Amino acid sequence: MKKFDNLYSKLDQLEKLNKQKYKEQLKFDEHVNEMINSVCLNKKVFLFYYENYQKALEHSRHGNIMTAENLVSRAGKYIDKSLLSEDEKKLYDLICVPIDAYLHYRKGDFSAAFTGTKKTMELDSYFEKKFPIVFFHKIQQIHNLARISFRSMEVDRALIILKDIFRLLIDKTQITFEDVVYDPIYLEYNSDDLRKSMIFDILNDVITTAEKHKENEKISILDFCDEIITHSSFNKLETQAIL
Amino acid sequence: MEVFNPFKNYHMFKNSYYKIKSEVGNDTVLFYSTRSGETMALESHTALLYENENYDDLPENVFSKLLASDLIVPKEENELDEVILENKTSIAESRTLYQVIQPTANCQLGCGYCGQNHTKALLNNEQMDAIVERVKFKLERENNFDALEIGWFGAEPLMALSNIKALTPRLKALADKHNLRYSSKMVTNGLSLKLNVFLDLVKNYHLSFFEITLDGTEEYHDKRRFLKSGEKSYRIILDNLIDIFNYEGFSELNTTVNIRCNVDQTNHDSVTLLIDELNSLGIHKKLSNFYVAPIHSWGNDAHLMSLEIANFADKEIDWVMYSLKKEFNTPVVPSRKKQTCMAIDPKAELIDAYGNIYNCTEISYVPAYDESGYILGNLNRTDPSNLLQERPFVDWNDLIRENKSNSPCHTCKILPICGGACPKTWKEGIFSCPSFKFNMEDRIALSYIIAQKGSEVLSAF
Repeated sequence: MKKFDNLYSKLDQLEKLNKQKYKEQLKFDEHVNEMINSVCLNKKVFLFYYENYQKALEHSRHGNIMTAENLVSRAGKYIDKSLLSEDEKKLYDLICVPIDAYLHYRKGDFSAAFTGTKKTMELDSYFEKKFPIVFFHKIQQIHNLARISFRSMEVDRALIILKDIFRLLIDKTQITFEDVVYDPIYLEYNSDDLRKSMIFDILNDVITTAEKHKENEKISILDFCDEIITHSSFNKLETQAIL
Repeated sequence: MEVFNPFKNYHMFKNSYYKIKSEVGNDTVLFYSTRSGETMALESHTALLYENENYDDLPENVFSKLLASDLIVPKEENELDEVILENKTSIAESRTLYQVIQPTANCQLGCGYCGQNHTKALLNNEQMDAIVERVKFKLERENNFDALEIGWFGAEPLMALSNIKALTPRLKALADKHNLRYSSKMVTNGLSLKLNVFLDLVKNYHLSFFEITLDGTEEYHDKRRFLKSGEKSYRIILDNLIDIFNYEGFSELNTTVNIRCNVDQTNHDSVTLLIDELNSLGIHKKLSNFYVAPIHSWGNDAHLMSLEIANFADKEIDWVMYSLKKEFNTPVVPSRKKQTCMAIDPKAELIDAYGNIYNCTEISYVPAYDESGYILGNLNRTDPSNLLQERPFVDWNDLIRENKSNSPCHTCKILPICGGACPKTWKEGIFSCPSFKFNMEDRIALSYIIAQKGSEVLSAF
């Protein structure tokens, strides 16, 4: 569509500038290690739990839902969570709740996926105070809510959520989703490259999602993206090297 | 944040039963997990800590990797149950519909060890229609397939080339209609696999995998794999292979061509000679895999001529090393195998040229099995909607778990990378363990050495 030539060409341009994807930069595993050291006394037990959930996530991404569910079951089978401290419980939940939510998403249970993702955001809010990197995990969750809305054909709702995400990431404005607050101060505690890279990756993801929608929905999604990239704050951001 | 240790003095873990130890030099100990197919190399003092389950003294990153590789597992875990669960889940989650078709009962060769009775039977038009209807019904009934895979087996499938050409577009159209990946493979004696036939099959009939058998060099092969008319076959097959591998666009075809060398007491001396010959012809670099297989029972006594399995395994590791030294693409360490054969996939079927339906590749055309009850049905009498779910061996994993498989698999450390070998052979009371069971330690060490130092290191041997 000619109308969006500018959008696509800007996307190409950004792709060239954005050498490293957000997830490649985040190295969340390293930060999880820091959290385990701080919160868990029995690190080995937690590692077992974490390892199995990571494998479950990998399998669910490939559509092997039964295998993923077996791994989830294995992760929890030998651990009595009732014996854990409150902080430990929360850290275990921070691992399992988002992956359980993703499994619901893959199985098409969008309501359960939404609930799990919202609960993850609350857990992130708890941990971000001590581990500011978790703030980016929290942004991932709100992005996941937009994805769930797209999948459940609630395009308008998805675009409202995305608008908030870009306000937060581009304008560094505080946003609130239901009762969960996203305070931009946590952006300052983390690498600015991470923020910029995340803007590009989310934008790219939304444009890819647009291609999967019917024509009129596709146009409204692309219109939304076009609005983002023509916004003065985005242009300001673009003049700085992304990565 | 408050913390306390709920697991204080509580040891939750143990070393996995499913591991094989191999030592390299004086200071490196390798542990291969058959559950994950991963190898951990540890310095000897660290290895000792691991072997003694002294996890508190293991470096954190080592513990973490041992855990991730399933070399350390929960103490309470029943590992056999876990392996069986993974196998069964993998079968249940398989999104490939596998259909083997034997389009003819005919074969030019009269190999001594073959148990099949060859006739001129060919699939007729009604049978081909019924095959298409049967595949169509399965694809429509289950909408979770993402691939249709066809295996063209024999007798000799190329003696029914016209059937392959007639069926392929219809099967491919079904795959396209359901938005599935389509692939097909062929096991052939290679006699009729002229370059033009090969190219036609690859380019127009979606064949992407061929397996061809050479039982040693000419002198040995021709004593075993001769034409029914008594003529020799080696030179014809090899010339076909040379033409195929020398085709200038071969690598762009993305086609896998394997050579299997069947071996027993009478021809094992020829394996290294064959490796030399294939190497001197330059075939080795284009070959995807070269492997040696012991002759097995095919409803007959052919296995009695086989080398004793431990003896075969000793020789096999030498052949593996020799082929690597000669720059062949030889796999060294087997990986996790969740499905031993088509028999345990409840959706997979084989249809022969008489329209008989089986769930095993070793039974059709073999007179010894005529009255065995292994025939699931026949196309002429079986409605496409009848999925023939009463089948032998689909419960194979449960039989292993319950130790009712008439095999040693229940307690075998290599079960995860073997899957239980051939259920039918075990049922017949014939030893069926794979040769790698007897040379795994060497394979693990060899794989590690090559990964560390490159295959050039083998030139010293």
